[in-house]
Amino acid sequence: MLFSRAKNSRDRFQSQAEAVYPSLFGTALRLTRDREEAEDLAQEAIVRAYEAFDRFDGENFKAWILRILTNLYINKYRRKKRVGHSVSLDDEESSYEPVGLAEELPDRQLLDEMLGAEIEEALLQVPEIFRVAVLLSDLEGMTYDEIALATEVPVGTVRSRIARGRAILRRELERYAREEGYLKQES
Amino acid sequence: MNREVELVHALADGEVTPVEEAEAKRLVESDPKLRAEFEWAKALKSSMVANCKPIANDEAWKRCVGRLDDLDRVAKAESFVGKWAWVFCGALLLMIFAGGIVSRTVGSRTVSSTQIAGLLDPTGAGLVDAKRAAPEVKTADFVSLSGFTPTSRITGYLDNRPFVRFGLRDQLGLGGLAVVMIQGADRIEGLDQPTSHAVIRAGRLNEVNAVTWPVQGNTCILFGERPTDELVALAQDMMK
Repeated sequence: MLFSRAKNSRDRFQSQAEAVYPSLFGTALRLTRDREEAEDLAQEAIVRAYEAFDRFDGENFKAWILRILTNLYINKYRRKKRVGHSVSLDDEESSYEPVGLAEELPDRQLLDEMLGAEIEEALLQVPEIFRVAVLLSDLEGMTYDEIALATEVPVGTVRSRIARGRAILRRELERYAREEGYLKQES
Repeated sequence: MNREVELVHALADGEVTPVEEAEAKRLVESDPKLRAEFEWAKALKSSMVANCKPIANDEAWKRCVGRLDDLDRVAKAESFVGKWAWVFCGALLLMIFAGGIVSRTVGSRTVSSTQIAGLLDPTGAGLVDAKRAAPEVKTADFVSLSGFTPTSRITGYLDNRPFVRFGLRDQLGLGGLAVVMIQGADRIEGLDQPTSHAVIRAGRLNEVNAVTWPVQGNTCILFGERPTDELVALAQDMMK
């Protein structure tokens, strides 16, 4: 009886986890930028989620497990790694200008010219705290509230990080586009 | 400017309150730069979704399933142990209890050296229980004291075994000797070194030489400030 109930719980967890695993692993890879570490991080998140499955509210499994993964990354992997772009409070709070006039910079065209790998590469150049927010919002479709919970910062900070992260991502994409000849070099 | 830009991005994400929404829409309509920012945010979102796909990794997923299997096995084992813990504890207590009983019945024929340390005191203080009737120990069944002169006699119980202790003078009238007979014991801890006599064992009790020998399932101890050889010889005189 006890084992049967446990088996049902395991089956329910496994079917949901398997469905979201590609997203989970993709996010882990985009966070860690290292395949082996990403596999470890995703696996650790799966294990933690399984252990806490009885406390899952049944609402949004993907958001819940991504929250676990992000928390793990912030509290464990990032602390261990200490590489990549570090961002000071000044950087985070610095002002940024809007991207410019639509006719000056053809956003759609720029993005349409880009391949997936190039966007991925540009994304990896975005400092981590901004990248996490942009990833969870734009790729995983998490709400600002869910991102705030996952990253343990206020919603206002999430809003700021997303805007800032997209600005940096745009700069990286433009730089790349100029290098590849998609856009004319600035004089 | 930061606030306006953030507001526009939040509008693109559908993350504005009704009050903010009105303001954000007004900004987007009135400011070309913010309109461009708004369009950029929307374009980037859809481009990211289109280009940055989830990444399948079947091997890694299989390893995850393996970890879950391990967790289940551990949980099952823990559940089993938890369920039957009281049985295991009961069995363990029973074994300890049974071990104690066996130890007292089977292994009780050995007397520890600490127990007999009190025998060195001629008064037998600490060994005589005034509330308990003195045991009857038939000395004649154990040893012959002919040729020795008893100077004292005490009886009592040593770990529930009846004993009798005689202070003695030898044939030359020299004192400082004592013989003890303990019923129901066949070994004295610490007195187990072989001597010239097959059944007599020797050793020291609190720095005093002593010899011991068995008699019909009981034990005699002779000790005093004498060399071991002399004690062995005196013991032989006492053996019946």
